[in-house]
Amino acid sequence: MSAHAPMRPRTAYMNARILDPAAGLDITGSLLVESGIIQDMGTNIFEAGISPDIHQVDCVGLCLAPGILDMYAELPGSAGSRAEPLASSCQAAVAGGITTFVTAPDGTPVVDTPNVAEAVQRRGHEIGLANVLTHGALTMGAKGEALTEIGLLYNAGCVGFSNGTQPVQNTALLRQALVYAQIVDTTIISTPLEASLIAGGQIHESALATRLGLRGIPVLAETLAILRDIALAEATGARIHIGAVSTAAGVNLIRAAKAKGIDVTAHTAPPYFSASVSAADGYRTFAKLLPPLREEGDVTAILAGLSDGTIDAIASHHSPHAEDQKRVPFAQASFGAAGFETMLPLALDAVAAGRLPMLRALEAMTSKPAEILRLRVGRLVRRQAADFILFDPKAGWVIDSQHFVGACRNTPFQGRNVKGQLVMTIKNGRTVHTLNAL
Amino acid sequence: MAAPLYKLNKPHLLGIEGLTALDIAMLLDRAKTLAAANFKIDKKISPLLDKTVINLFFEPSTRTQTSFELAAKKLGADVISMQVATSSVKKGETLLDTAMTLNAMRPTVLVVRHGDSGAVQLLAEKVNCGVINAGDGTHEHPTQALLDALTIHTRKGRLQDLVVAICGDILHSRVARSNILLLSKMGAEVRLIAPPTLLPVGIAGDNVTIYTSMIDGLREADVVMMLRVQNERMNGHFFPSAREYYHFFGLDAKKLALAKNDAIVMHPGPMNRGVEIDSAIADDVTRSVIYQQVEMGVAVRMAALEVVGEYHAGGAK
Repeated sequence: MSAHAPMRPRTAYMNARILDPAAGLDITGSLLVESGIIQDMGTNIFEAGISPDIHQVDCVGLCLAPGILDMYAELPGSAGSRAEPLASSCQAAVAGGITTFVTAPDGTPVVDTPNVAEAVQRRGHEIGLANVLTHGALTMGAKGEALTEIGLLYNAGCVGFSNGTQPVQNTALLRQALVYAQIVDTTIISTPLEASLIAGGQIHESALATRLGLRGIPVLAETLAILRDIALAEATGARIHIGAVSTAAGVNLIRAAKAKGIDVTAHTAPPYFSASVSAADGYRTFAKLLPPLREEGDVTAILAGLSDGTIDAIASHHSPHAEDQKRVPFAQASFGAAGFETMLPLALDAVAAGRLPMLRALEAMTSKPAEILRLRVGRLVRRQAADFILFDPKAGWVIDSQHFVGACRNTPFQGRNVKGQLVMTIKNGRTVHTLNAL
Repeated sequence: MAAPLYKLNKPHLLGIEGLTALDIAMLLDRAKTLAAANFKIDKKISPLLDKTVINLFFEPSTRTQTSFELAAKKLGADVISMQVATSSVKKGETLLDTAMTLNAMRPTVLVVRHGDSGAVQLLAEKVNCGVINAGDGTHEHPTQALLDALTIHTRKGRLQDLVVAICGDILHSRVARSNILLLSKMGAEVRLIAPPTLLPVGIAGDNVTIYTSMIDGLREADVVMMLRVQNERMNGHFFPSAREYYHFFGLDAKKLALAKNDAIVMHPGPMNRGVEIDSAIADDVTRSVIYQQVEMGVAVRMAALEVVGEYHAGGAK
């Protein structure tokens, strides 16, 4: 490098298929990064030639899209976990193309005071791989009894409010929360599960559950909760976001509510459009999720709901568990699967199978959740942070948890053939993950 | 007597689900031979002679454990029975740790009962001896189904085309699940009679029909199999009261009269007299085969221990 080289290093990502769902952009072109910022992008930005001091990355055959925003990850909380410390989670996130993720509020400690909310973000900042944001708890201790300081938590950076996997059962209190939360511009996220119908439940209520002798979780547990949430949103005018949706009936309810003009949005998670209850046959605890994996018809309906926008977003619901929390009798095993590193591949696989349009899939993981949570990420914008991913939409590979970057390997998708592979994750212009093969 | 052993060709007996109709027929045949010989075998040809059988019971049991103990002793095995207090086994690590500890003592067969469905299979994946499921959660209880089938076969001479009514708490019953699998595999017509709250989803099948009335379900039945109603189910969540349950689903003389004249009455025990079964019927030796079931239990468990032991002991000596 000469003495006259610019102080600020520049990198050009050449000849990529640039996809920006927010702008409806799908072009072949190049993108120039300078000092962690997107300087320029387009088809002909180097028409007049390229300066020799610009480092060039050849992206022929690759797609370039905004970094993934994962709007709901079930991390163990800022107290960390012996299973997967936050630093490991962050590595797993960027290895999944996720440049920003939002953690659920019901880890340890519960995010019910501004201190806890700030601690989570600060720890994420120290690690410096992905933006780590957090939802606030809707009720103290996520116990569903008393409201948290929603306004102060919002000021402390909480991007949404939820009661985690134990939704507020007291409808009067939830109504108060929805009305009160309107003092700030925030979204209430409701997990659609009716507690009395999931108590003791292990997998989807089905002939398989009967055969395995495991208590079932009925579809009704989801539809009843969604009906309540929709009615509350309609009655209060509050913004309510429902997730994760796992059933065809749930998709239909949300579709109908949207058609009525009710301010409701929803997300699902990759397992619900990639696998059915049969994944849990043989007591495979890695497929023990909440909500549970449903039937093939539900998988199809979730994909249809994603395709037509009824289901706005995809969230990972990344839930790391140590091996010994899963190598136990089914009823004793924890719910949840590692999801950071399989979210993008499973979505791209649905795209490759023709079951989900590419831009819609990306929108559901970038600009759409950003819009729901009022975040300025998830788009490719000049003069904004260079957070983006490169992926090969045609590359076929096999998911192998032994190659996971994160500490936890509890995936129900071990050995699954998928098409679509992440090649590189760039956060603030810095390459934070590269596919080994490259 | 030196009856040739048929090979199960499976390392474990975890459920009826994994057995073929031929497996079942052979097991029943062997058990019948053992019962006819008054449970006496030439121990020199027993695959379990001087081998170790460990009964590992994570749930309290008297009859099943005793039955397995007796069966193993009749096969010449050294038997150890362990009642593991459920309180100390809240965590799954303990289940596998316990299993590995026992495995290190090199038993030939582990007989396991556990309160969680699938726990016995999980354990079987970790040990290198044979495992017999003595009941796991609400999943399966294969030796109970086999002894029920043997009892029926002894009394009726066949299983094929018999009408067998299974009445009561199907939802929580591993006995029902194993019996449904076995009887439908063997060509019997299975009727399930229960209040709708005690019927699991998707239980009906090719040879399995659901009834919510004893009056409809018991008609022309050859076998009436009553299930125990657990006390903890009588809290008003599944049915209103024991009194109402008995009125609609308890077996009394009037309801039994709907079945065939020579219909037999079965119960896996222990019975709740006056809840699911009238005392007089339970004690009616012309109809009730409840104690015969217990007797057949020893024969069936001997047969089960033999075939699983055979697989692991590498042939009878």
